[in-house]
Amino acid sequence: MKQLLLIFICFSSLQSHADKYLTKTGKISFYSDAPLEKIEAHNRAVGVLLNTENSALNFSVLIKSFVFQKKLMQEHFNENYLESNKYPKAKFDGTISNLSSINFEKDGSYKAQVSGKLTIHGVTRTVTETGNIIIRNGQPSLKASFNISLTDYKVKIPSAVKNKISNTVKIDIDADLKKI
Amino acid sequence: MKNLRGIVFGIIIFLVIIGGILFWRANEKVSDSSDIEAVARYRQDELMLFSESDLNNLRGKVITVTGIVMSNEQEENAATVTLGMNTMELIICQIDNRHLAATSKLTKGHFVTMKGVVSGHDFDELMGKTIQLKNCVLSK
Repeated sequence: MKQLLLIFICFSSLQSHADKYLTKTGKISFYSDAPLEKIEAHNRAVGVLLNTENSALNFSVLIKSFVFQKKLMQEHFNENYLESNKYPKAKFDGTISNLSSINFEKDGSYKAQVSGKLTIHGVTRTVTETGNIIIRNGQPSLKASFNISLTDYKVKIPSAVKNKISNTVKIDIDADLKKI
Repeated sequence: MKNLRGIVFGIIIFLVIIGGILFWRANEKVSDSSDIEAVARYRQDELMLFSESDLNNLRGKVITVTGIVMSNEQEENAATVTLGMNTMELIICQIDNRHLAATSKLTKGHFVTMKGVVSGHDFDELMGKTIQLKNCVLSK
């Protein structure tokens, strides 16, 4: 009987550390500073799922959900650069390699080593980045900032504006997750 | 001589007009959904039953969706309102920042009609279904 109880306690303990956290309203912003003009867009409808059982981290982003201030910029982004009718979605499927060092029950800011496959414009590349997981009242927030190269994802810039548009784009991620 | 002056003047006027049109086009703001007639009106629950091909046909169109507010995330100069009964099936409305005030007091459980441009849908096996609208306004 004692052994059964011990097994039950161990199992319960494992279960409490195997949680899923989700948001459908994560934020991704991108910025490109170039001589021709600054390009900035925000997407506040990003799906983010963190599964602490297998350390999996998934992002799902609809390209057409990026919001621009300027109509022409939005049209060029969707039609000429990201070709969002052909490639409507960007996604990331990866893992947090140091998840065991993050205490989801203790408030604080933790570094997270993330690696996995990032797919943009139909091109999948392996990426490794460091982000922050901030725990507040048992709920994690993911924050990360990194640069991507447009040529890595075969995003073509018309030759007429090639020297005036930056090839490097800064990506900011901010997602407040909730336990499901 | 007079003819030449006229031609030069005409070319200058032409270039100014072209330049003005290009400048206006380059700086034109995204359309305000409140000024556009919705092509269709749906309830949140009926829209969720749409097939992927039906939703593809709605992409880029202005529609209204009526449903129950699940969340309202307000930030400085941005807001996102979600409609639905559970997190696995949601309509996500990114609010047009010219119309933030109208949605600032919405809370969970409010019954509302939102109008916006369908930016797409995401039927993800891990994260469930979302239908996404942008440039959203609270419909009158």
